[in-house]
Order: sequence, then C-alpha cells, then structure tokens
Amino acid sequence: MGGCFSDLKGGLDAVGGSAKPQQNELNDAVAGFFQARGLQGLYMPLQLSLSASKLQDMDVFSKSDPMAVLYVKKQDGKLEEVGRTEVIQNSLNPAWITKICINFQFEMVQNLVFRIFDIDTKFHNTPVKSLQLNDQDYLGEASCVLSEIVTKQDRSVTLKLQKRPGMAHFGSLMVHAEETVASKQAVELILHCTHLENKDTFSKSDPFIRISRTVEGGASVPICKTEVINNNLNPVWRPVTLTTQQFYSKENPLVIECFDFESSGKHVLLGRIDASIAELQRLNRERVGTNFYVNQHGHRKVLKGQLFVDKFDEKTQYSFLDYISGGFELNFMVAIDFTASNGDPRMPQSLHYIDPAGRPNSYQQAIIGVGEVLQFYDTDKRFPAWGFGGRTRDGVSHCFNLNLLPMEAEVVGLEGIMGAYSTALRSVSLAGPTLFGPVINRAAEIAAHSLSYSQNKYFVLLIITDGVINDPNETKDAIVRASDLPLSILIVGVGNADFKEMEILDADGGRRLESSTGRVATRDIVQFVPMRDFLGGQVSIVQALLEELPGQFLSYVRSRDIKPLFAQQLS
Amino acid sequence: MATCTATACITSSPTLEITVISAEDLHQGRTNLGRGTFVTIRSGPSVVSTNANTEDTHNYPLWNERLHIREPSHGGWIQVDVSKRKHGDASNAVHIAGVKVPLSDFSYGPAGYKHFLSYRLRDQEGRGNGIVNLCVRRLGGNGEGQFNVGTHAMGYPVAPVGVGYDYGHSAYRKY
Repeated sequence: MGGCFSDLKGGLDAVGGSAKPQQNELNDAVAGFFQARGLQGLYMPLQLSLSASKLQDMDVFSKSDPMAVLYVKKQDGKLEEVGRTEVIQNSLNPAWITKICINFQFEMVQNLVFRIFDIDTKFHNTPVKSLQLNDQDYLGEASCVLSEIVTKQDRSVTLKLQKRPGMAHFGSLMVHAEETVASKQAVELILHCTHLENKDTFSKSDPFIRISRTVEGGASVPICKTEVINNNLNPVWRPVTLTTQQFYSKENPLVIECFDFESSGKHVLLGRIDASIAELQRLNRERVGTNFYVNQHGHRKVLKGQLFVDKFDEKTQYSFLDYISGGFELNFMVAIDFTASNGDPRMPQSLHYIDPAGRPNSYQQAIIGVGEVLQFYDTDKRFPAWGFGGRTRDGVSHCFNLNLLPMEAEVVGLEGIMGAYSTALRSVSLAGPTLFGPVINRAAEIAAHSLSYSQNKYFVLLIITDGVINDPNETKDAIVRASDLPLSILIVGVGNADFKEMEILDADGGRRLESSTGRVATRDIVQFVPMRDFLGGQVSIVQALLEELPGQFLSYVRSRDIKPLFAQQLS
Repeated sequence: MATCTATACITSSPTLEITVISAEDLHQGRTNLGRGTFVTIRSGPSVVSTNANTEDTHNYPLWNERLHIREPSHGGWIQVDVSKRKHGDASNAVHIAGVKVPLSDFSYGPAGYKHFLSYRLRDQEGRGNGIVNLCVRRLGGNGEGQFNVGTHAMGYPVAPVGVGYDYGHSAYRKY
C-alpha cells in the first residue's frame, strides 16, 4: 500500500465520506481503482422494462412470438447490442419480464434503438442469446435517447414502432427505467479513538482512518478515509458518510484501519478492526469501544487503542436521477470569446473561421457537444448566449447579447445559438482584453434571480475562450460568490495558448478558491478543459467537461436539504 | 438593545440565523485550538457567541451551532471572531482571528435561503489564520418561523444542525 497515499496534499484530506467541506481530493490510486472498474463519476446502473402493444401479427395460425433487443447507436452509426428480453409466445401485447441493464452516463448522449422480432416456433428451445436475428421476422424498431426517459417524471416513454423510417406505425413500445440500486440508504458516522500507539519520536502520531470493503478472494477495496489529525492519540474525526453503493449491505465485512500519516506515503499501521456496518451500529448503541489489533508473527495481538462510534445515523440519499426525473432543470448558458487573438474570422486559420463546407470550428464543436447533452434537461430550450471581448456598435463589451438584441439574451435551441454566433461574427469586430468577470456575474445574477421563484433550477454556464484571462482577481471573486448559487461553470480552452492560469480556477487540486477579499469558495463549481488535450483521444471533451457536473449539482442540493419533487410532495 | 421591546424589534431590520459550522487550520504557536475555542458574532450593538468547542479536534474546531442576531440597521457588515478560553474561563479569552462579513454576501435570494459562506480569518496584525465556515439565513423583518423575538441578543445553541450535515462535501467526492 506504499503508493496508495503518495502525495502529501491529497493524502492529508478525507476521501469518500467526509463532511469536511474542502480539499477532499480522492487519491490517485483509489481513483484509478474505481476507474478501472468503470465506477468513476456517478455510476448509475439502470434497468429497462419493456412492453409493447398492437404488434403486427406475422403468424398464420396464432399470434406473433415477440422478443425485444436493445442496441446502443455508437458515434460512427454502428449498433452495439446491449441485451435481449425473453420470447413471449402468442402475444401482440407483450410485457417482457427480463429487464435489460444499461449504465446511464450523464456526460454522453446515449442513443438507444429497440428492435422487435417474431421468433419462429422452431427456435423456441434455443437460448435467446444464441438466436440468429436474421432468421427471425422483423416486427419493427423504435429509438430514443436515454436521457429522454430519465427526465420524465415516471421515467417512462412510449415510442412508435416502425419497420423503416418514414413508414407506417406497427404498434408501440413502452420503456420504463429504474435504478438498480435498490436502496439509497446511507449512514453517517462520527468515529473517535482512544489510547492510540505513539509512533512518532518528537511528537504524537498523526492518525487517520481508512475503511475498506472486503471483496471475494479476501482482497479489500478502500471506500473512504478520514482527514489526518495531527499530533493526537485520542482523535475525533469529522463525520463520514457511507452509502450502500459503497458498503453493499450492513452485514458485509469491512476492514477499519488506523494509520499514522507519514508524508513519505509509508503510513504506519496503528491497528485494524474487522467489523460490518451492523457491528458499528451496535458499538454506537451500546456506547462501547472495540480494540484494535495487529498481526504479529502470525498471531493476533490485541492493542490498548480503541475505536468508538459517537454517532450512527441512517438517512436517505437521493440520486442525481431522482432530482432530474423529479422536475429539476439544468439550464444551459453560453459565453463566447470575441477577443482579437482568435484571428480574423474571414481567414481559414482563425479559430472563429466558419467553414463553408460545414466543418464546425472549435467554438461550434464545444457548443454542439455540450449543448446536445444538456438540452434534454432544459424544458423550454431557451438559452442565454453572450459574447465577450468584442467591439459592438456601442464600443468594446465584456458581456453582450450574442443575438445583438438590446434586452433579450435568450435564443431558442442549439440552432438559435449557432445562428446568433455566425451573425455576431459578421457584425462584431474582435477586440480584447479577455475578461470573465462580467459574464460570470451576469450568469450569477440569473441564477440568483431564479431563487425567488423556483428552487428547482440549476444553471450551467459554458465559457469558450482562446486565451488567458486578464482579470484573474475579478474572475476569482465572481466564482467564489457564485459558489453559493445554483451554478456550475464549464470552461473550454481552444487554440494553443498556455492555459496554466486557468487551472487555478478549477479547484481540483484540492485547494479552495479564495477571492481577493478573503472570501473562500464553499464548493468547486468550475471545470476547465483545454480542447487540444482531447484531439484524437479516447475520451471526448464533452465527457471530460460534464463528468463532475452531477456531483456539483448534488453538493448544492444536498447541503441545502433540497429534496426531489416527489419527496417535497410527500413531506 | 435591552430596551428594545418585541414590537419595536418586529419593525426593525431582519433577523439573521447564523449557523457557525466550523473553522479550519487555525494556529497559534503550540496551543491546541480544538477544545475551548468559540465564535463571537457582532452586529451593530448586538453580540452572540457559540459555546466553547468541547471536543479535542485539534486546530479544526467544529461547532455546528445556530445563533440568532439582528441584522445591523445601518447596513455594512457583521464581525465574526474566533477566540479561545483560557483555563476554561469564559471571561478570560484570547482573540485568535476574525473577519468582517459584508451583508451583501447574503442579501440576495428569498428569505430563508441558506447561504454557505467561508472566509479567510486574519489576526490582529492582518496575517491569515485559518478559515471559518458559516451558513447564514435571513429570516425576514418579522422573525418568521419558530424564532422567539425576545431572545435575539442571547443566541442559543440548538442540536447539531440536522442529521448528516452534508456541507458541500459531494463536490469533492469523486465516486
């Protein structure tokens, strides 16, 4: 485990379940572990239940024997099979029992294609997985985007089945999505220890706790660690929250280890305890401690040090999907850089060059990519769009309406943004400097204003820029203020400038952003991505930009006890 | 303030509900700033204080204590100070660091909106010393909710704020 807590800055912070508001940087080894298992970001497995009505009857003496197959349409247009239902015999209104599992990925547009086949009687003893679909009668297909389903209040859609696009309908298909995580229970614990062993020569130990889940084969997976408390043999840590996704079940064995933090990364084990969540609950109820032990020369040595559970609270944690299917909206806003460093838009080497052949420039790519994902979460699809650093008729402006209307910044749909962008390029001349403060403040005003009429809106501002900002202090001040609002900011850097300065706005390094007046951001709301890092890469820039958004959204609503609409109605 | 009758107070400036959550990374020589530290809030002539932190959380005191105070009628700011009791004596305290919080930082949004605010603290010489985390709600001019107008200048602790105080931590959690 030597490399597990390698850097001092990240290593000192709590991970996975702490209520400590700052820093919480997940250490790289654990992140790598979860990534390798596809668990990064918000992992949201869904089960799709399918049913159909008024299917076409293909059989002469009886009705059709339908089976449904789900595909995901990849970016290159190819279909990849995700799963199949069972065959239901002799029915034109089947309700399939087999659920098809798919992972919801917020940061991607997931195009689904459903195909229905009539399975010939002679194949009825063949396992569905080995059925050759070309041998079967085709009853029709339907398609939709997964986010269309999850944004519906009942998480259900009804789709028309067609044999070919543009042809008559052959019945309809109903799709219902459910989260497979049956329980959204979480427990909050406050842990403290007494009589820990002293491992440091000149001061006391600097203890932290790491909790791991035991997996098959005896290995253990770290699920959270507390912050480090310096120089203390009787430490009390900040509350940690563990979700059922992390610990699986109350009876599942966990390993609780207490380490003395060493900046070298070679933390010294002060003792371990094997206990389940149920066991921790007992410790809390009976107000007793349990002793740490170490393995010495093959036998177990019980130590004087003890672990106590001061608080054990069970609570419900609503998921991102609970909020967005319950009527929460993500409202999309765009700001585009009109500074001179982009180059004359009439020249092909300009970052703003609009290719008559229709190949989108970097700005258009970013708007389409992010907009395509976010538009499903914005019901009226009216998007405020601004430009900054350009010279309009009224002189240089650091926040002008992209549609050049005096009062109204909103445009309708992604086409509206694209149209306003190309019009603005023709009538606004590129100038400078590059200031972010005014557009962030404008977006913050809209977010702040929304609070007076709705608590179910969250705003996402996309800033696309080619250069380094000339107002780092104003920008930081604006971001720190905005951290108290329902707002996240995505920044895409285009072109080849040195974007080092931008990294400080993105609090991923673990440090909280501090304004010039000494106010400190209460959460990370910025995600910065340079576009050149993604050219030809495996991960799309849109995925990288949007990956943290569900977490940022949840940090806002959870800290304010804002519940999804269905839970608001219950209470 | 003591002469202010309940009726007179109702028509005056809004009440602030300030939850003093925690402070981070305080330091003062080798003194342990966990146990015995407390926060004082001044708004115009009114003063309220948290209880002293009783847990040995080293330089990261955690209060989670809700206080009520009148917003200053002249506008401006409220003063937030962290101090430490000497020898457990309430009247004998040492100032550690403080900050002026402008009212404009929580003057937007509807009444009752939870403003999560954090500030760099400074000692008397102006050197940075830790961060304080607050949650401020403006309760409107007539002290809406269960708040009892007569006790505004005293400040009273309530149970730690809710189960699972989830203060922004998910933003930093990556799974």
